[in-house]
Amino acid sequence: MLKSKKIVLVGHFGVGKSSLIRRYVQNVFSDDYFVTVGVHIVKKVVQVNNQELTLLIWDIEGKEDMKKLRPSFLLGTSGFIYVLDASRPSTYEILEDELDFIRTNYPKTELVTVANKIDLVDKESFIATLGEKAPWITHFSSAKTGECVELLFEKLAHTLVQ
Amino acid sequence: MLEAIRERYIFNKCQVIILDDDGIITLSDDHLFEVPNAQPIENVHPFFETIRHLFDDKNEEHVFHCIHLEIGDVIGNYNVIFNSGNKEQNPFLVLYDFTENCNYIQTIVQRRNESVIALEFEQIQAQRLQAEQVFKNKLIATISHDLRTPLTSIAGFAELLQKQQGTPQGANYVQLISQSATVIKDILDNLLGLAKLEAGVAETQLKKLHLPELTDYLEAIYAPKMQQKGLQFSLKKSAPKNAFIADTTRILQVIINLVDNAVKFTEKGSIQVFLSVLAEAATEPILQITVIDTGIGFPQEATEKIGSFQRFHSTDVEGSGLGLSIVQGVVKHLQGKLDIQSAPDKGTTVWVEIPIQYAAETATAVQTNSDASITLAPLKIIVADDNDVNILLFQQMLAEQENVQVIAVNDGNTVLDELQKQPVDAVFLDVHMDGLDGITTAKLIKSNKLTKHIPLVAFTATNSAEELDMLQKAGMSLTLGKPFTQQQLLQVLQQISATK
Repeated sequence: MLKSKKIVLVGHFGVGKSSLIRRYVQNVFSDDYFVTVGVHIVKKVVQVNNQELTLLIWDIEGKEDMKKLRPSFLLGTSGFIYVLDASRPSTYEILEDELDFIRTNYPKTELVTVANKIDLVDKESFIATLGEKAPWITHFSSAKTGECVELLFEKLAHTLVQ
Repeated sequence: MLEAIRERYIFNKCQVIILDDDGIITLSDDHLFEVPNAQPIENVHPFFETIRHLFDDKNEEHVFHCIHLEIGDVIGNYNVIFNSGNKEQNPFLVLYDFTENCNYIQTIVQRRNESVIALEFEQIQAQRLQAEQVFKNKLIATISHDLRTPLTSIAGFAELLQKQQGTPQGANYVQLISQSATVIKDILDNLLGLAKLEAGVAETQLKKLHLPELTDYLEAIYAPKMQQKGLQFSLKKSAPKNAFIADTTRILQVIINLVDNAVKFTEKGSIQVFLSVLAEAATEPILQITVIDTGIGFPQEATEKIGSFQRFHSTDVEGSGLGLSIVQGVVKHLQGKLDIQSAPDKGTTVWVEIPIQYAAETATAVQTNSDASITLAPLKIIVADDNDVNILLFQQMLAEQENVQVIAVNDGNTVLDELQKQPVDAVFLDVHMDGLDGITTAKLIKSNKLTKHIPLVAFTATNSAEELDMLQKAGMSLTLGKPFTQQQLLQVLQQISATK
């Protein structure tokens, strides 16, 4: 039986969680925004250290506050991807609280933070705007161009098997 | 009858799947979709794989709301109850079909989220426009202040000059007027440069970088200013013997703006400038510029903005002119680095690093203006400009050229009339004339077989490659940028003279 890991994408609505997954799993992108209600789950088998690993990727509906998410969605999660929208400051205004919530309630779970839609902003200005929040962002991605998307998932997959 | 109602309204919306402790399907009523008997439940959909670990703890029940499942041809959203069972009861799943509800909620949430996002973008746009408006107002105030100073000098000395023409004092006034005009030109050049950098259309022009020439030039400009202000000025350089090329015009712009700012904010003490080229075989050479002053300095927040290339404008540091914005824009354009350390009343140190290149043999040739006196063949030219002052300036600059006959007109139609009357050697056309403008006039001249051979010179204040290309296409093969010097005018005439 293949080893499998559950990865959950969380973050505000409209930040591009579903688009990141579609880009990673199907290598497609659409500019149309389609709200996710509830949960969509897809899987992808990847090679990590010459072994196959099944990533079970949960695309959860966006919420402005992690505390409002149903706890059952997060059961058995191995890795969180916290997604924010680089073009919308409201999606990272309470980033510190959100990340603290995850670290406190899921201390053994891997966490990466990605600023998506980086193609819509000037990266240097965006980082400058983030100020002290900047070091918390581990990846800068664009589901539209594909920038950093594969790297984001593959790096997390490598971390999960270690 | 009860059973029939249940069958239609409850059973059709619900499915029960019984499993064994290993997650193998043992029984299913298949009311919603078919599942294969005696197969692991995780084969049905990845969702079930993610709850596989829950089988280990008995007597547990979990509810998962609105799970999107695609099983065979059936696509829907389900609330899923998982019970891990116990000694008496096998693990089981109960699925409720909430597809209709979810679809309805989806429509509402979609509308709500779209409007929230649209509103946020409107607010961001409004804030940006407001910031731009504030910047524009402050920029206008800064430029107006910066221009007013040299203009006051020009107006004042011109008035004095009327009374003291031909005296040594008069000559001195002329020089001061000329210097003030240069200041105005520099301000406008800086403005244009800033606009180009912000629009991302600035080109890079590589020329030979010769540090001794650069430092001599800086010494000539700044030594008198420093002396006048009572400041110590030191200018040091160090570079290997290799030949280098770089965008020297912009590098000079960076140095001048940094030193100008240092002078402006330093009332006593010193200003030190270090220029050095770091060249190691394995890496590209780097030009380091360091400017240290003992002036009033500025707060930490401002230095952070500059160092991070955050949009930084003159208004952020009161009275700093356009200088820091230009430096920031140019350094970024040249892919360099900028760092600054400053504290109120303790002075400021600015470090700039700009990557440069080793000069190839062919790249070291630098275009220089010839100082040799210019001799012209006899020329008859038309100059067309709707500004009489420009016409007068043009005529005065050629007053000593006896070989050159100037026919001055104010619009394109008169140019065409003049060309009907007499042959000429060249036509100088202001691009933006009232009536028939320069471009249209040029096209008409070039479309006439009797006049198409006449060289056309565009008077233009533009530096835009796009506009220059448009002038070329209209037939204006030469350009004379505004403002122009007598030397530049004579050089253009020499080119025309050479082709005669």
